[in-house]
Amino acid sequence: MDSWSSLMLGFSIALRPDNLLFALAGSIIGTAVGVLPGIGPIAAISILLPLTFHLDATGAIIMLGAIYYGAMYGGTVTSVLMNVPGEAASAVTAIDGHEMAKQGRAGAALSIAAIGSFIGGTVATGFLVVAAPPLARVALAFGPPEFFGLMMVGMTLLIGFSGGAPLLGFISALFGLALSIPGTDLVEGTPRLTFGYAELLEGIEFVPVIMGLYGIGEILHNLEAKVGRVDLAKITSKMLTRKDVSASAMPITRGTLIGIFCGLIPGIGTLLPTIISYAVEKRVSKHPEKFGAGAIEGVAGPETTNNAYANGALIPLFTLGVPASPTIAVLLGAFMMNGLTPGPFLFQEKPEFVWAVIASLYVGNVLLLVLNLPLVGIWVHLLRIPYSILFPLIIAFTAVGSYTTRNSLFDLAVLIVFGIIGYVCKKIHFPVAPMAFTLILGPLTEKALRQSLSMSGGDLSVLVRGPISTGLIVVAAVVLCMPLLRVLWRRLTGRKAIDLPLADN
Amino acid sequence: MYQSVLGAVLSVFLFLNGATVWAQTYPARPITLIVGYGAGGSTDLAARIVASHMEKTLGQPIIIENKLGGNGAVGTRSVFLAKPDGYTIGMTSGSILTVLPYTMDVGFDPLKLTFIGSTHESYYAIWVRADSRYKTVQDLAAYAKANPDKVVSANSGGFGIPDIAMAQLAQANGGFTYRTVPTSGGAEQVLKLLAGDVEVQANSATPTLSHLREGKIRAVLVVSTSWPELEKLGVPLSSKLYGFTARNLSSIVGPPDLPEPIRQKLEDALKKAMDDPAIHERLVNTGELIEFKTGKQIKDDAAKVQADQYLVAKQLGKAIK
Repeated sequence: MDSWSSLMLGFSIALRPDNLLFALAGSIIGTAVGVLPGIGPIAAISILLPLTFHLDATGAIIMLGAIYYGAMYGGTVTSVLMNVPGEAASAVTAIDGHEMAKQGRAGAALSIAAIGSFIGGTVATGFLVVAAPPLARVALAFGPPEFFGLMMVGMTLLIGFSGGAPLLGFISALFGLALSIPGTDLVEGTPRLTFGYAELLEGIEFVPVIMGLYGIGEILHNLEAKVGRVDLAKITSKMLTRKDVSASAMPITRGTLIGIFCGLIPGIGTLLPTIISYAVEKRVSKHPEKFGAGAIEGVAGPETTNNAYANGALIPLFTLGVPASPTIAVLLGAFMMNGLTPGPFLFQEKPEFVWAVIASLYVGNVLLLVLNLPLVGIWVHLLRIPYSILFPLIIAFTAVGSYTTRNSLFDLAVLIVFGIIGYVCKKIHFPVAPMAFTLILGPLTEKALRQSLSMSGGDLSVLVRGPISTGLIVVAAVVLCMPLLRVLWRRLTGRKAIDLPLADN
Repeated sequence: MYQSVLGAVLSVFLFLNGATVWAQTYPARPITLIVGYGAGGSTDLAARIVASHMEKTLGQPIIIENKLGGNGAVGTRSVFLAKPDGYTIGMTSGSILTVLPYTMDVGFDPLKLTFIGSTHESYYAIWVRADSRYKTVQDLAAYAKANPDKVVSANSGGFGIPDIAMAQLAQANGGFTYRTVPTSGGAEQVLKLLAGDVEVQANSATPTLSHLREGKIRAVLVVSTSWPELEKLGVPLSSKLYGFTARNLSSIVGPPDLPEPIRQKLEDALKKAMDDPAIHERLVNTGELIEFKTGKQIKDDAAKVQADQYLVAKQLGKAIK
């Protein structure tokens, strides 16, 4: 059977009423857990795992899969409306999404997110159908040295997230890296700077940090300054303008490609793809100064990317049996419990199952679009809730979310500490995004570097062992030196630098 | 005042009657089962599968709580510190029972936990890529001995059972040396093998089976006590060839001094769950060596395996005690 007729077989199973119902239930649950900060898709899928014993395996996996990508849609809502990203995937969205909400354009932000997610998810699934086996080789070509190169690119791109002050962005990024040091040493397995706290053995948890820095910091600042109140008069249910759509077309296209590519590399996580997308959009934009002040491209790109990533990340699962993210690892568990071993063998063993699940990804993406566009009108009205009610609610949600990530009181303390840090940073206009993001990228980078050096026996030349790794390091170097090169160029050509030398990124 | 006196009298009464009263009414409310590992991993899956049946026998829901950190140390420690009333129990896996207690300061002695019963241990083997120059484990050992620090292995992060297995293989072959690439788990480990970034590794069943059936990787030595699928292919057992095994035991435990009637009740519920054919099949599907063991059996096993693995870690300089 070729891919096409297999897919048709898949659709005939996925569109059966019972499976359609499972996809719908999963989409709704997924959106709900995405909206509630902290209750991530991992928790939701795990809680529902035993329920799947009583279901037919195909239906069960369809439902769990729908929860997985439904949560990617839902996570956007709180990022945009309340500046509380419930998980890493929508952290980047908050930067411009929340600014748009403050300008009364929450409806447009959420709509473009839903549309971008739909396109990203659908196209990524298409790749899964036509090109999964050859694409799977990307996962193998990306060994530790290549991974390290990619991380270097991500880190250097981050510095551009600082809103016009690269030096502050650099300091913020370094602070985040320092925060990523406590934990368990990867090679020795011994505790590192944990000061006797067992809770620190796996490092500082990202969710309470980001919810503190963004959500709590924002609330404290608003309470004090009484600024940033959403202009109620401007909230309209009016969705997208023609200008919005044309501005978003290219970000969505690029976001889809970035998401699919990153999905092929296991272990990359949902954050880096969205960082790359945001940084690319800012760099190609004709008005980069609008980024950070409510640019729709800054929402369209990353939101498309995270859903394309979510679907693209299923390629390594189906072709290699390797889970590309922790959520997919839980999905893999669900496969196993139902007697299905993911991997290339599954295509031969149970084609009707594999293709039904793939077809249901299409179905799910359509369901989510149909479900989410009308919901946008309801979500924006949340902004009309008075601050005296909304703020305690947000604090309660972030506290619950921080606690439930690991069921740890320690993480509540982390939330409070980073809430205060976020507040202070906001007051002194110090960028927090690079700090939060290097906290995630730091351990990944360290791992890639130490793996590379273990492979080579300490020889640094392994980092430029092939065209991919060398190319990535060169790109990182160019990105890093770009502002400096521009200044030099202006000096050489005798033109006076009008803007401050370091303010250009 | 009046109430506190009454309370004191009541609590003395309860204390005296302790075990019997508890056992008769236990469980009167939901039980929390703490898993020290992430949702969806093999330990978590096994816990969820047996819990779904045990709650029917016990007549109270069992809530699974994933308390992550320190390779299982954080979750297991919170079981250790819980009130021994049977409402907080946990699921532990190999390294916290048998490796971590002497490689890091976990703050408690896992062998003092109350052992309720065991569900499974993990299959483990030494793997190479299908096109590897090592046809047999002897090839591997001979090359490694002639070329110190040339063979590149991968572990699953920190110092755990895969490291114990490789170290025992090296010791059994005159102490050859090799390099280890750290990864975050079995799935990433096998990816490094497929990509050719590492040559050899000890790994369990879940990440490897599909690649084995695809013909992409081969096993050269079974290091768990058995592994029928590989034995059928003619892969030798380390216990026969070298006299060592690398065992990864999983068990359900409670806090120290859990009253015996409660422990027995939980053990019976676990046994009943594992005797159920549907539950058994689901457990087998997780790719582990499924075998029910009583609390006493698993405790003795854990003590023995810990003593064995301690010696290996000590020789490698990994033991801090």
